[in-house]
Amino acid sequence: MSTFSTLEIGKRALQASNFALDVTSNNVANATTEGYSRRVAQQSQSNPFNKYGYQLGTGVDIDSMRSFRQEYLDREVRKANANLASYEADVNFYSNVETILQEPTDNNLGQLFNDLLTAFDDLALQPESIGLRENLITNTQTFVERLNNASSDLQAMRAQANTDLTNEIHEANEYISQIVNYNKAISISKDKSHNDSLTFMDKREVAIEALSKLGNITVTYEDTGLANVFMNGINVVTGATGQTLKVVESNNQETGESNLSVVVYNEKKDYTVPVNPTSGKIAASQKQYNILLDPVDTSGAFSIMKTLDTYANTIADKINSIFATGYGINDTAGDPPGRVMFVSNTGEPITAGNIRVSDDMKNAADMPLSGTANTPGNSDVARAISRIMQDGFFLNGQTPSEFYSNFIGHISNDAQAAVAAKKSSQLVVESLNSTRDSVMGVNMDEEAINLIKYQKNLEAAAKIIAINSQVLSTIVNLGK
Amino acid sequence: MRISSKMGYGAFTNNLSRLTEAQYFDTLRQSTGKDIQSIAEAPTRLMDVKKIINQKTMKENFIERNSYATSEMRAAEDAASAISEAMQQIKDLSVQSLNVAYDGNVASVGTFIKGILTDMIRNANADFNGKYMFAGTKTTPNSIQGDYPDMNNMPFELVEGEATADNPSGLSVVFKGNTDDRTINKDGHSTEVISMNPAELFGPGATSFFDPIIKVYNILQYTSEGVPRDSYDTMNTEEKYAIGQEQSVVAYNIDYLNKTTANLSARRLRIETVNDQMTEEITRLNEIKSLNEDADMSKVLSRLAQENTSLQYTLSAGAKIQEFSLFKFI
Repeated sequence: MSTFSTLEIGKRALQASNFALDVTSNNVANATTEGYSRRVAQQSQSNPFNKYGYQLGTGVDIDSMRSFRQEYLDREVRKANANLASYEADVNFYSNVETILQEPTDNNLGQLFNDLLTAFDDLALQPESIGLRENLITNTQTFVERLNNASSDLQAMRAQANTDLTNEIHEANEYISQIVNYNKAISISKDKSHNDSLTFMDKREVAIEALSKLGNITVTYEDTGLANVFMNGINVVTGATGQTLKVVESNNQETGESNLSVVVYNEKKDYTVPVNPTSGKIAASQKQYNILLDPVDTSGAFSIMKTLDTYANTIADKINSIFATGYGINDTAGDPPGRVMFVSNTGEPITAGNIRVSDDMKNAADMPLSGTANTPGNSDVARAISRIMQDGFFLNGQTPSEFYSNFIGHISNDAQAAVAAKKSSQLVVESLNSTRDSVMGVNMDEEAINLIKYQKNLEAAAKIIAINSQVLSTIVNLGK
Repeated sequence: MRISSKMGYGAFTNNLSRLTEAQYFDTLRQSTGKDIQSIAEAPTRLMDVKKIINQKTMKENFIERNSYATSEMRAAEDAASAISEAMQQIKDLSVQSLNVAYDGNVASVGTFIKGILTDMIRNANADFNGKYMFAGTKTTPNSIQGDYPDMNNMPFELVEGEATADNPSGLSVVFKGNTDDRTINKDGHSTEVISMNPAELFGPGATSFFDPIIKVYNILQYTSEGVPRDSYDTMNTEEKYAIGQEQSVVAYNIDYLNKTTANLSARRLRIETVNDQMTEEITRLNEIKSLNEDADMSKVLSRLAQENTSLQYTLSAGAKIQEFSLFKFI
């Protein structure tokens, strides 16, 4: 041990305090930074030397810098994130559907159809009234336009789901790329415990969490610090290599059904592997496109679009078939002219999207409301149509009103389930985030104390050097 | 538990979001008076409300239509009563003409009877809101076509044809409508005929009740040789007997017509009874609907007050997050 050893101890103390002050300042600076885990400088005694048979300390060393990230909490947050994201997407979806179907208002489609049937009942009383016939045509036109609008809005939502999915996949690929890049940065770390890569690890975790909102993922960590990410069990990040997710549309020629799948290519890129996450925003968009808004869905699950089309088709079919047996005011003899009320715009089977009022209805007098020719006061057809309101076999063993109520009820139940699930998921996420924040978040009071502590240490270390300098001066002056 | 700086802000943001959402929906409840503001809130109640509204609207519509139908039926009853009174008048004049003390002009009684017959035809052609009431289902002028070009477009017409020995005046009543019933759905499950069938009102062919009247007219107006009567030309015994026969047929027809009118009244009363029942049902449905759908204002307002207070305290607490930190003192 030389004369300068105290100076050395002072220098180490100065360096250690300075480092600790830097770490503390960094904590304060990043107190609200997303994904930041607080750090502490790990100090330890430096190796001693023997003097007079005693071990004499040589000061302080900076051992490492540790963060307070906990893998278990990260994993749970990721899982909860995926659930919350899909429920949030569901809630938004049902909120839009609610607007499109104008629920819960008295101006809904079911009510409009009831108004239409009521107009037929009015005509059953005065079938010869041209005014009431005109009114019926107006009601019919309103009902058809509402069906068309609802269908077109739902189709727009389906197109939006397609766009959303494409954007989400693009976003997911960005995150995958970021994770790969952070993995690469971490892989060149010199520290075996990767304490020199804490910033990259935090940033990687932010990217992983963002990815977890898009789809259900699991993450495994290698000893080298690299993270492997699996979406719905399919490997999308392996160390420094990432897969590219793609949206693939498949069309069934037989049913006309089109579905969107999320895939990755296999290693040789000769075939695709389906990923199709089961939760997260991607799963929500896929469910919207492939099932809820698919007019020809064959999955057997509840499809809003398909149900609406079936409703429109059944209405048209029931009314048209009764209409075909009737006579208009000016039909004086012969067989019924076979007029219909609804036709398809496209020539395909009638749906909510293509339904329109037939040209047969252009002239109100032609509306076939009588069961016999040249009897304008006969309202057999009008009464038969108004009776549809009580037809217990209208659709699926239900009256039109029951069917529509149950249709909205189904949507309503699903919406309620989504809202409830979103609320509970939100609580889980909040609770997990809170628990995680309590571990890895920055506490300003702690940091203030650390600042004081390390500042005082620094001052003391500086004092050691100053005193040692005086001692050295005294020693140097001894020889004069 | 260790509290990090971010935790306070997270809880603040979440509470603020929940409170403002709750406040928003309660404000909507207050302004609309409806408890269900979103389909996700109460699916079962929503479905119930829809079914109740549908039933209620259906019943209200039935009541409206039934009221219209009963108005028409009342008008038909009035017209039928007028016809019945006219027939009674004809009958009385017929009897009067048989009276030995009668020294008036027989032919003029016949002319009077013809005038009444014309009134009967006018009543038989009565319409309600432009729709013939006694023409079966041929309710519009366009659907009524006479056999001859000069015939009118009304269901009943008194025409003067060729004179015959049996009918020296050549008068006859032609019916151009049909004898079909006009039916309405009086409620969700049953129908009711709202028209008065012309065959019941005026006998078979919808004209036979006019025949005895024309016969009386012919006897009063023409001699047995078919020659128009002179003033103070009296009837012989055979003619008087014939008048007596025909007036008894008219009397019988009046009874028949009155029964038919009473039958129409009975049907109208049935519809009115159904309307009364449906009105009561609507009252009950309104109560159930209100229970399911309407907001309990006292609850909503007290909740809003709570939410306002909570919001104020949350905002106040939020403003104070991290207000005191050790940094403030060093």
